[in-house]
This record gives sequence, structure tokens and C-alpha cells, in this order.
Amino acid sequence: GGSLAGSESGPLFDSTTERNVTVLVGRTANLHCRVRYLGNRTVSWIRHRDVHILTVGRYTYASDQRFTIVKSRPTEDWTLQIKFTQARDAGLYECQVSTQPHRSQFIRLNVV
Amino acid sequence: MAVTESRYLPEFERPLPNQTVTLGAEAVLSCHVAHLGGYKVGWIKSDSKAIQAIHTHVITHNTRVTVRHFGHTVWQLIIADVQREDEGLFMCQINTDPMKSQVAYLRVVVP
Repeated sequence: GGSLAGSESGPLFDSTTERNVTVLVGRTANLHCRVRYLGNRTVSWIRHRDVHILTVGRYTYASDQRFTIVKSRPTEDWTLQIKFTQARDAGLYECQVSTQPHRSQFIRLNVV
Repeated sequence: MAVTESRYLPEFERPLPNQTVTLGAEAVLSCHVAHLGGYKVGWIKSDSKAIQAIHTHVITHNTRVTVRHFGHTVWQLIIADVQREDEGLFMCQINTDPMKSQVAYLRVVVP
């Protein structure tokens, strides 16, 4: 148990975000991840197909230029943006918060 | 991201060896990379997908995890006081396009 007030509850995912996203081939996909009470933890995105780390905080680790992290300032939304989507982009994506143990939210992307 | 211009793309110099570590001891995973250039080495526990570190930054809030590197060739993930839950597959990855990776199994034995 933690001694800091709030450390037991946060961070929390906003459960209202879409967990199943469908996009047309060639269009831009936006995968949303809203996290409250983030504190000093980091939000990262991972692609499950090959366990590729895509973004870490505001840093885009993936060299594929189609991937970017969009963090709109006043909101708590860490959006993974995938431009010019291709069929092979379909699959499971994980938004992960760096607590110990980590906490995750999963989004399935369909490209049609 | 900015990537240093280089004639060679990064590649692994040798396999990432599996490790067997006694409970409570220290585990050191060494990833050997040639021609890293401006690319970065990342560590992730590939079974649980827990991100461990990117480059010189530890991402996990697991206080037993640290990273160390020797030049741009040897990149290490160090886990102190190894616990049973640390057992599993660890992946060293490089952010080339396509991404390059190799995995090793960390086995924890109880004396």
C-alpha cells in the first residue's frame, strides 16, 4: 500500500473511448487513450503483431513515419495516429501506463 | 525522428543468450548491436508487453530495473534482486523500419 493520497486510485483509463476502431485503407486511424491521474508515469503504445514499441510519452520511437503521438494539451488524451493505413496495420494495439505492475488498455484496429 | 545518415543499417552482432538466475541475484541481459547510428535500443518483456527501457531511459517504475551501455555496441538491461515474476521472455529491439528484434528467456531458479 502507498502512503501518498491518490496513489491507490490513479492512473485510471477513461472507459468511454472506442476499443474497436475501423478505418478505410489509406485513411488516417486515430487510436485514443485517455488517462487520468497520470502523475510521473509514462504513456506508451505497443503493436502486438511484432511487440514493437511505437511511442513512449511524447517521443515517437517507431521510424515508420506514418506513426505519431498526438497529445492535445488541455486533455488527457494520448492519441496514436496512423496515417495512410495499410491492411497489415490491422490488429491489436496496447496503450500502457508505466506503473509497477503496468496498466493497459487495448484497442483493435480493423482496416477495410 | 532524426536518424544519423549511415552507410550501414544497425544489426545484431550476436544472439541474446538465455539466462538462468538464482532468486535474489542480479540478471544482466546484453544486446550487442553494430552500426547503431542514430537508432535506439529498446527493452520490453515480450510476454507481458511491459516496456522496460528506451535508450538510456528506464520507463518501467519497477525500481529494480536499470540500463547500462558500453559505447554504442553493448546495451544492457539489469534486473536487481530477481523475483519469480521476472521470469519470461525479454526482447531487445532497434527502431529501424522494419523494426529488428531478438528475444531471450530469463529463468529464475530457487536455491
